[in-house]
Amino acid sequence: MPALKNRDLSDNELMILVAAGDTDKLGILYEKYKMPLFTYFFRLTLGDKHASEDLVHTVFYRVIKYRKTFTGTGDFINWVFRIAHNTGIDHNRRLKHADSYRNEVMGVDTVVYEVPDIEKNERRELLYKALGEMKAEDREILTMGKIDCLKYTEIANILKISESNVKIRMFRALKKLKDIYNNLEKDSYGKV
Amino acid sequence: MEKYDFDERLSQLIYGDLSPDEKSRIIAGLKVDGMTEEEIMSYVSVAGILDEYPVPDPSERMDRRFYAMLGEEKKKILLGSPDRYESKRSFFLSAWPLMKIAAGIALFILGFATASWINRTSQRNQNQMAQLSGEVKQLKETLVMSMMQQSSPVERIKAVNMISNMDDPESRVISSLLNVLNHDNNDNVRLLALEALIRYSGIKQVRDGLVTSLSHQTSPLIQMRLTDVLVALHETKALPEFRKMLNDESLNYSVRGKINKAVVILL
Repeated sequence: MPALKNRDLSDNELMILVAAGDTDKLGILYEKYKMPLFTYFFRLTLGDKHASEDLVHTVFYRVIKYRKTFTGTGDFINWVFRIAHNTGIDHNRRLKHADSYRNEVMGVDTVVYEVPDIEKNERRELLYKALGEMKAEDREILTMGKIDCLKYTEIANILKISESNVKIRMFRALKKLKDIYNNLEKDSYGKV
Repeated sequence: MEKYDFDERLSQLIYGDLSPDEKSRIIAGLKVDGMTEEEIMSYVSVAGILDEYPVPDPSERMDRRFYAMLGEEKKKILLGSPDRYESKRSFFLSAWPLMKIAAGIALFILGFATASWINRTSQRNQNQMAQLSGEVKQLKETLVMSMMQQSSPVERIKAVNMISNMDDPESRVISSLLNVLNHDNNDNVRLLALEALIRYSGIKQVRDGLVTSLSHQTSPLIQMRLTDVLVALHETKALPEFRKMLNDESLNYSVRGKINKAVVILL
């Protein structure tokens, strides 16, 4: 039987090989999913880069630890994001309150990328403030909606809700964000 | 239901990967349902804010940590170090049927042990109680026998009273009581002994003893009471003794009358 090239292998096949002991294959999956996972955690932690990197590491640590539980009956993307979802929940529990998130975000070492535009910077600040005032689950579903590789079906599988419910919850979360954002914006202009 | 549909369509417009035609169709539909274009666009723009701020690339530290962890894991597999989670899992998987059987057996043994322990405990308690009660009874009887030998009639009366409270006195106690009835020099003590013996009249030894006792009694009070008891017991064996008493000329008049009636009844 000719050896399969990596590019021919699906995510599920790669993970099955990892489960069988070919751990090198996890590198391929890591390279493919590190950015979507980082994005997911970055939004969830309101731009905490270090925390997001740690959370991505935790996800892959759990992937290795529980590799034998991956049977290939479901898609790898659902499985890995389910682990990410649970990792996020654990992280939230540790932080206890959304306020802690906000305090951290307002701290020094949070959003490290540079935005030279002052107006953009202010809008970003407002956005993260608004996101910080939302419930973690609302923030999570908004974040998931913005991750390219996650479609409604995948999100529904990860959160264990119906696809239709995903759409409804996404819109409601966005509506909340819009209301909070608009109020913060009004307050901000009022101060000026 | 319509509200849900409304939310779904807006969500699809914002998050869905739609073609321009599909987008126009959804917007048109939302307008028909009462939403203004500004309203629709305000949602789209808020969603757009999220896209305005791209997520930065993670640092190299994240990659280094991951590949270090992967290297460690490879080493563990090559060296055959046990995967704690897997070894636990495989142990449980392989041992599960045996564990179920073992749990069943353990449960059975536990049940059996508990039942026998309870049984043994209760048996032991019962035995102990029986032993204790036997010892108490024996002690009481010895005490009674000793009290009946006392010179004081009060002590002997107390002893007889104690016997009348016993459920199942031994033969030696009955003999002792009959002895008191036949030979005690105090009429009250003898009468009390007779009353005590009535309680055990179901015992042959007592019935025979009562019949024999007739020849020993000299007190008319006791003779009359004993006659009543023997009649009540339909003790025909007493007839020869009654006849003998009737032949005695010194027999108390009242006793004679009582015995005559008794003989008529028992014949």
